[in-house]
Amino acid sequence: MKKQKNNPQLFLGNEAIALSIIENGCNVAASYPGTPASEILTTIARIKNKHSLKIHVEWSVNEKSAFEVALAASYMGCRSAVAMKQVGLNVALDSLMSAAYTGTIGGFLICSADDPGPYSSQTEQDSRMLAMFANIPVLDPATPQDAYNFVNLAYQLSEKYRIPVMLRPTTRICHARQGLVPIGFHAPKQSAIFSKDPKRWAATPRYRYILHKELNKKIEKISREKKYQPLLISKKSKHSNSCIIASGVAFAYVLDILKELNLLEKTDLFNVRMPYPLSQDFIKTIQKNYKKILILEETSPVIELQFFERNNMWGRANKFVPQEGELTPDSIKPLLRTFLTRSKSNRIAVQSNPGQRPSLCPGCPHRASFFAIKKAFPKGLFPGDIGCYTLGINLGAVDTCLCMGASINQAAGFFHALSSTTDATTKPIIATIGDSTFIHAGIPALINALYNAARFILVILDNSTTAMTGNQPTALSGIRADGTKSKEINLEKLLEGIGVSFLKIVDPYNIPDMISVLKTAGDYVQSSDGSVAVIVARHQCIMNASNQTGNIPVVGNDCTGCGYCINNFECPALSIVNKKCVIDLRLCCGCGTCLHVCPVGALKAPENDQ
Amino acid sequence: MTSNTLHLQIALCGRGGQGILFLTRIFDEVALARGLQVISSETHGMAMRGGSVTSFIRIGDFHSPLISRGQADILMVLSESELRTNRYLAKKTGAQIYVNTPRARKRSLDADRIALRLGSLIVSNLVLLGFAAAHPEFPFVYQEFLYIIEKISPQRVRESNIKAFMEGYSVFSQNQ
Repeated sequence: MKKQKNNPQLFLGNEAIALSIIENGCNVAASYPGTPASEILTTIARIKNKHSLKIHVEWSVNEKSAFEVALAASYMGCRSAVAMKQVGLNVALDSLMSAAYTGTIGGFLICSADDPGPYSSQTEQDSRMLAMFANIPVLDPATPQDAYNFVNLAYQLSEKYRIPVMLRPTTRICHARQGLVPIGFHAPKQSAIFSKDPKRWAATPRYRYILHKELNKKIEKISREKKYQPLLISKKSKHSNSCIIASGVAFAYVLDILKELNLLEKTDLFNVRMPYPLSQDFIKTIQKNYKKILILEETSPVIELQFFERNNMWGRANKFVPQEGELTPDSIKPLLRTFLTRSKSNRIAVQSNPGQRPSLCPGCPHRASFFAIKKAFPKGLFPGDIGCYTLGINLGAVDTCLCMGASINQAAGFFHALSSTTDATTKPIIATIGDSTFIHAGIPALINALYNAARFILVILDNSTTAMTGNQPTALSGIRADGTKSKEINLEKLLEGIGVSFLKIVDPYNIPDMISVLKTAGDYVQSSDGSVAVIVARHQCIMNASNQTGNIPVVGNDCTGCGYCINNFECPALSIVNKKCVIDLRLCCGCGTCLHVCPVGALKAPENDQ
Repeated sequence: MTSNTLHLQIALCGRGGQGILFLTRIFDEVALARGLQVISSETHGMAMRGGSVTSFIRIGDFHSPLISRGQADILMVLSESELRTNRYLAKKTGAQIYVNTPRARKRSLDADRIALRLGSLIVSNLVLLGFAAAHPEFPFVYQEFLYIIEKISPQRVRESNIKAFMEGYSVFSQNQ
């Protein structure tokens, strides 16, 4: 065990989780990037390299792969961890449900980060609900320090009961920074042995019943584990008939607000660290001792629903607590006032602070792709996907955004719906998907579309990275999570291999070229032997581009100030000032894609370049 | 006010790419170097693509990272357009609001112009920080920041970061 310095160091919640995973002797860690969870694996890889650890770290192609890779390591007695954002857990849900039955050997930590708000997600779903659904315990940290400590608690519980254990941080934990003192490393296990036990690891339905029974017994015992019981943090001096039960960051808010308002001594406050499973003893004691109970948790009523009697409960079920959106100090404060002082407190409307909408970066190749798509097919139908390029909405070139990989299936569905009607007009359908998302969930979708004779254009926006979440390497990049080299997956061969017969690679910076390829693809889709036409729009993410050495364009006197470039191209470097287009030299990177945009040709290459 | 009872809430706002996260780190480290408890909150993900970004730093006996309405002692605004949407965070009285803007107002500075003169817009965050640190009412002194900027800046930008910070600092000092 290596000793660390005793001074506190600053850690982001995600870094604290990563450090603790390594300190607890994890052998295998896997993840797919997704806000707010991305920095967990990035940090594990960094610590691995810094200390030349032998542990395996990978960016898997999706969360299901990540889950199963880590789970298998646990089957062999090694500690392992899988990290993802909440919607990523949906992708791994099939594995989770079954893993709860099979159980585990080495400590198995599932870190699923939720995003109440939501800030960077398509849903506000509560991973704790899925832990309850799968019947596994879940720990809910209130601070980065908690998150750090809970990793160890999770591993202990997982190994004692041979069950997957979930750690559920939220955005405000993942991206909060706090000083904490690292404990020091435990060496990972030095042997990995798979003990064959088909009744468990390959259980058929007959044995699954037995495993289910076993699981229910485990959960009941876990609910009574002393170390994991709710903590009574503050107690009213006299007998109180009301109490507040809170978990996660909501608990930290409550504690801070009660201190600020000098109300800490006015109530009994419980911190629930393991929202599922709650023990029957705790539930009965609360029901017996209190007439009025306030429950604050994000985002679903997981604690609340475990109480059988809910008439005296103030929470989400009776709509006292808002049923959607993030809980914040500003939304909790009036609730506490009303609950504790019975004074009618004006509820502050949750601050709606739309601010500036995000936009693709100056020089982003996706902007050029979307512009070309809109030019080639002004009346097209545009199924979109998850990534930076969802921002194609701003350019009118993204009509849908459901979940990872959905663009391709939606394109197929749109096509089949259109062709099943008498109104089978030839509406062009152009789906867009990023390279990382294509590898994640697009490949089976494309096979499905090809095999079931859908016809549309698929544009794979290949910027050679997972840009939205902080530029993690993809399987097409030839780089692994820890920076080691790998043989990159050859996208062209893959596409040819599954039977794509129209395949073109274009550089979206060359907008006229891309428009002409798109039109050719449109003709192919309509032709008698047409199918799915695939265009790979390949240009490196501007964030990864080494020193941009482009030429800043100039605006000619012929600019009419019509605003076409602003409305249809939305480059942050362009604006209209005094009825003329102006280039913000501080933002422009000289990509030159806007030269193809102005309808009167007023955006020109600089003189010295001609 | 002794340092153990210091309660200080700082909100930083601007647009993605303006270096809000780096400023947050600096404040965190400065507080930690003084032996104070600190918890801060950052914005990642979608919003970082040029959207509005807000960071909170809470120094003292705090367990949660968000600042509620009217509680911020200090508001630093890197993009003036963000002032309107974030002003509600500042204390009604006594809050110090530092703004990066070419317009003349109390505690304001055209940090962008100075940063560009220094060669890169990217350091306007440090110019504004230096400017704020020069104010006598600011709760930290510039040496504390210098020490941290030197410690946590990547090698290749260390010199330019320090230069930007000192430039902002001396603008205020010269005007006094």
